[in-house]
Amino acid sequence: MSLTERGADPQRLRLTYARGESLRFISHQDEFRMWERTIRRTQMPLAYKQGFNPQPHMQFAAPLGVGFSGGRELMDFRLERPLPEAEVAERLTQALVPGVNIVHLQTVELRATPLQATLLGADYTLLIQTPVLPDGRRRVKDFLARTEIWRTRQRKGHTYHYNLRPVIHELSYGGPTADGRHVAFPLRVQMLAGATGRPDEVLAELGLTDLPHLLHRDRLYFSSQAEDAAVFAPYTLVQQSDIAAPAVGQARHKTRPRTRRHTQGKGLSVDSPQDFGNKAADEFR
Amino acid sequence: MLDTPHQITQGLNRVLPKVSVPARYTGGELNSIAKDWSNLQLRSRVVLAFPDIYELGGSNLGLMILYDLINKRPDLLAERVYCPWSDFEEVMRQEEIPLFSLETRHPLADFDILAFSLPYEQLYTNVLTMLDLARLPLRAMDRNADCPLILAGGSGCYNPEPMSAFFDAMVIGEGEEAIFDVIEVHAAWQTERKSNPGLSRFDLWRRLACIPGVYVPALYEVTYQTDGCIERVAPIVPEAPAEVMKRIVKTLPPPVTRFIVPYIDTVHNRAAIEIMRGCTRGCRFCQAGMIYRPVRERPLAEVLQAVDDMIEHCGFEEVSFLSLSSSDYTYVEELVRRIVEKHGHAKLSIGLPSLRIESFSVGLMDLLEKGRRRSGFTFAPEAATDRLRDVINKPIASQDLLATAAEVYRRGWTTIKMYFMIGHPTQTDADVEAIAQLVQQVLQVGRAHIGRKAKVRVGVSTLVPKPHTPFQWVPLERTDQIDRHVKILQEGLRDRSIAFTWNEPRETVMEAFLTRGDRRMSDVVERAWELGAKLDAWGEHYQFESWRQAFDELGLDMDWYLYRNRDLDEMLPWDHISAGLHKEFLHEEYRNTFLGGVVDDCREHCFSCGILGNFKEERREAADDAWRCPPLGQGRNRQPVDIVPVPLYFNEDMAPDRQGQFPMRVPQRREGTVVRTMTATT
Repeated sequence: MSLTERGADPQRLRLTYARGESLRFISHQDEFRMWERTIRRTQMPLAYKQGFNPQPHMQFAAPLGVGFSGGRELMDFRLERPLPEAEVAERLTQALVPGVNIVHLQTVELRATPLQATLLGADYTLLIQTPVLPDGRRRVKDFLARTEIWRTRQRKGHTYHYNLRPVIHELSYGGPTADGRHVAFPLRVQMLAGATGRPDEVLAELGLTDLPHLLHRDRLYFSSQAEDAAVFAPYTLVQQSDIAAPAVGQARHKTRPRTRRHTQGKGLSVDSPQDFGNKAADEFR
Repeated sequence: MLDTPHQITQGLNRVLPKVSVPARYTGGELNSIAKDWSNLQLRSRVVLAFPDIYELGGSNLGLMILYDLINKRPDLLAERVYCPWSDFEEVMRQEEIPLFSLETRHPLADFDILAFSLPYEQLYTNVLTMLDLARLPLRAMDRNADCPLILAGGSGCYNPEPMSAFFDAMVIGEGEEAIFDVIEVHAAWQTERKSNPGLSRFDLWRRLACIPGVYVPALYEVTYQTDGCIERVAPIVPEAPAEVMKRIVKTLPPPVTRFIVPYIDTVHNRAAIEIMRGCTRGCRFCQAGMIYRPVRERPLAEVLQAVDDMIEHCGFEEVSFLSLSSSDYTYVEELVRRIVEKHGHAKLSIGLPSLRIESFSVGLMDLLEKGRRRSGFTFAPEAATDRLRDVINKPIASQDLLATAAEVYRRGWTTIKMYFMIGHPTQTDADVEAIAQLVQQVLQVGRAHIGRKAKVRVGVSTLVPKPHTPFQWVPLERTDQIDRHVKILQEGLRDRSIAFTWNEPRETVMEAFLTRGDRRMSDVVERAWELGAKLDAWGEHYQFESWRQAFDELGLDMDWYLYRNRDLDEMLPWDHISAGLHKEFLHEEYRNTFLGGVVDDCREHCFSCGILGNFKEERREAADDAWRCPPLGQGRNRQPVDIVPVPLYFNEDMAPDRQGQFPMRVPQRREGTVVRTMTATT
């Protein structure tokens, strides 16, 4: 390794990309691995964190849920030494999986604030697979007329109630799409820690969950961007404490399927991936 | 009723958001291949089916090899299908979605050939689920000439009888070449049918039976004796051979390097490169060690190139070097050293499954330490006493195991995983107690080096006596005995640093009757499936009662299949299938089991298992160093081997107190000796 190489600072790159409809069913964990492998295929020097089981330096602005496509998703990653942006973009393009497209790529300050910390909100489009929805406008009106919409969610085994309405800042009826196959509902939500609007919950409150649908995130907004901040300036952003209701119960749900091996009560817990591992090891040992 | 890829896609858009892990059913992964069905050049369309869910099937190397080979041909296409999880199965039935291929979403009935991988018994009922969801008749006899050809391959086919009713043809042995023979015969028959519509499925069967290694069950008639044992299995047409000899490839075909890269997490979410096929060790319980003979190694340069290609095409962060005994691969240390040198900085993790204590060196451990670290190592002593290890012919010394454990823990790894089996022939309670003692000793070694961080994971399974092994005649251990032995182990392994898992005895029972059953078992499989048996490998779905009821309704005795010590001259249900082993070899090994006889690694000494006799031509055509069996012909010498022989001695030079104890010549390990300590003293 030459002195210059050793002296070279790592490069932090900010990637804006689109995740197509064909990839809408993968989880965030799957997407993380997908990007790690994409960058590994380029054989560019992806930087890894130190540690027993090193993880790549990759940070996502806002994990995209299962069932969603995204038009302008953001991710930061680091290379051990700098490469020209054009070359990085070209090599990435060669290595992408089907269904992903690069929208933009730029180098950012190594010490820039993480994307997640400046996240304000997002625009979504809820697409209902039907040529017409006669009562679409009424459904939106009813939703917007309510001041409190209490929803129940599970998080880490805890059930909690929260008020959905204050985190939804815009919802409208967009009418049929150009292809005439869908009806669109544009939606703008805030995304602050613990106070994030979830489009699937809006869909449920509109009473449309059972119709075939596509969920698309058009873009994200960041407080670090002046124009983004301006868009969100008119809204009253609420905090977690503003929308939370007291926790209900401590019921812990075990939804994980039991596998064919039994585990003794005492001793190490055998968690889900390990169970797969066990099963796998049986096959090949 | 949804019948076209477009209709199926419409249906999926509607239902997928409601099912668990929908990405199992959407395909589109990197390196998957969707060919154009309207291409007039296409002669045959094959769908490769794995009868378990995507997360398991997606890691199956055999399916991946065939997918790669078939799709390399411009006139053929191969797509994939896996078994849906129960929630999606229900939705498919409600919404009338037929089982479809992942690549182009064609219904399975649109393909020319539907080829199932049949690796193990717990998946048998899933085959029926898949045929049913594909709207195909379950039984070969009920299919007309327009149905796709339904094939099976994989190690489950070594006893084809329990599933024989459901397949048109079953490929015995290695499929890399046989699959193309089958495709050719089928395509020629299809072409001929265009001018001669009278050609029947029976005619196709007769043609398939002429392909070496292809078993067409419907062309054989089985008769039974009054005691229920088989009287004879006889072909009913001249094309069908009396004995179907397995297929082998002379040398391993080039490894797959464009693996399908799954989006969702699968059991082996990594690249798998086969470095060696077969095993020379001869463990008596191990079916793979018997049926995958001869041992063929992949040249080092080919493996290294494959890793480079894989990184470019797949980007996996882990590569696993597959074989039945990876530390026995001649170039294992050089392989690991060169991979670490070249790719270690890129955090490529190296997996070496199936390490043998005898050949796993400290040097290798040091090399593996340099890669992306894994949490520990796995060893499979299978038995905990020297005596029992001789019975199973896996002579590993406990002190070697402890020494290796010390080296592992000393280097900072925290977990050692150990596999044992219970229910070996001649096993006593003391042998079971010894398992707990050995595990405790390993843990003590760990504690001595890294304190309370040291952990041991113990997996205990029950011996299922498998066809084509020397144990094929022995009975399965009774369930009450297994339960008792599991209790002994639970007592002995009570420690917060020990994780103990074991197989549910009733699931073992199912594996046993399905692997040992005869042709009548097809009715049981179908009836149990009708009664709701499915996804049997998944604890929450396994229904022992459905199986019990199916046996009862059909007037068959489950216990007769499980617990009967079979006579050496009994006609076994799989005796018309040959894994290339002489029956005398298996007999001799069976006798050795009870006489304390052990055989050595067969790289050291050929025990005439039958491979060289049955595959003379293949051996002559392969390079001298391509097989670990000795080359044939004058002037050829055995290649020098670098192994530590088991010190054997025969009756004539036994200690005086043991002379004359056996009527025949039995090779024996010297009392109280172990591999490495003997080397040290000689």
